[in-house]
Amino acid sequence: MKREDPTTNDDLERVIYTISHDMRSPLTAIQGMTQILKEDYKDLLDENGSYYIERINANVDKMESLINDLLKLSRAGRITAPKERIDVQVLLNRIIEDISKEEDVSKIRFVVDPNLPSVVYDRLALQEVFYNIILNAVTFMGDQKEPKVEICHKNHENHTEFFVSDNGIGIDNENFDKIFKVFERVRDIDSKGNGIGLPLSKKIIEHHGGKIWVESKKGIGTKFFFTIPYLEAELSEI
Amino acid sequence: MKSNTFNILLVEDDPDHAHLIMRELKKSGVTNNIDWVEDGSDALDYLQGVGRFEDIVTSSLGLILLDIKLPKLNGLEVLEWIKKNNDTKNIPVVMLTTSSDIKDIEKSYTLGANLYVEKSVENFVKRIKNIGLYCQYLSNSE
Repeated sequence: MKREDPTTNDDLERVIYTISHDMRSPLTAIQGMTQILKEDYKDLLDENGSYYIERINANVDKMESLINDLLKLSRAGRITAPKERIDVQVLLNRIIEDISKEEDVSKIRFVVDPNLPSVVYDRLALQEVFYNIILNAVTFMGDQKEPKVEICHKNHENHTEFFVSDNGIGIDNENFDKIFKVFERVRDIDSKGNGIGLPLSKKIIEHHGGKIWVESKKGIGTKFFFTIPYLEAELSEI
Repeated sequence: MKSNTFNILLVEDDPDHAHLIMRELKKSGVTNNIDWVEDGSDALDYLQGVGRFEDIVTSSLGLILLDIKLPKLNGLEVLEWIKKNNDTKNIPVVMLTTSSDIKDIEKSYTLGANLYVEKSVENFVKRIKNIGLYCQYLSNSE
């Protein structure tokens, strides 16, 4: 049986964290100094000069986004915030509202299970998972005439299973594993992200003792599942 | 107007960051003298007026801007020293760092930091300007 060495994994995550963190420092200086060039020396720059400054800024933003994603990824395996009881319905309403500010979801019908339970979990982590999966559904909807995203749950003996389904463009079978790998982009639609949302969700779910998987048919839609184990205290109440 | 009555100590190991911080503070109207040291050990020497800082009048110090990742002694160790020492514990300390780690934020406030400001890539200059306003508020409320 193949076993991962937890020490090596932990060390690697620390290295990633430290490198990502250290990379922000020179980036902050670059951004600060280009801003000074833009504000205080704009009269000395011709059109080309201004263009290059804008390109530096755009690349700094891109780099920062990559570094922030790396930081999130390394944190997901190292840091767990205190758990609290979360009303999933309320959480989802907020997430859908947040996504609607970034993406055009006016045509999409969101169907949310009215009996969603409350769960005991790290709030920001759960928010990250639902956000990434729902954003994924919205991003890969395609030109579906009646786009729909559905969020439901099912209670099991030892855990709650949540699923998010959509009737979007779907994923090829051979890419089911790839979508959970860092920086893999398997679908040919341009999205804003760095391809880290699903790997990050997987890491969070597994770090909390759950599982995440996908079922999909190309052209029909995709269904993401993940589980949240009950806490011992909750099990004794059942 | 008492806008330049106290000194500011900047503890920052990155010369580019130090340059930007001092420049933006001055641009935002801060006229106080700013002394810059590059590591935690020099910060403690400065605060005690020893070594090459013998001539420093520490009683005129009114604000400390403190990075966390520093050579020799890190910013959290310096902060702990400042807040445990009777002569320095009442000086406002602003943590100014690229770290967004919740552990650093919590530890800073537990040790007595007055403010924690993350040097974000996107808003670095803007945040320094806000610290400039804080400096001016402190100057005027002396």
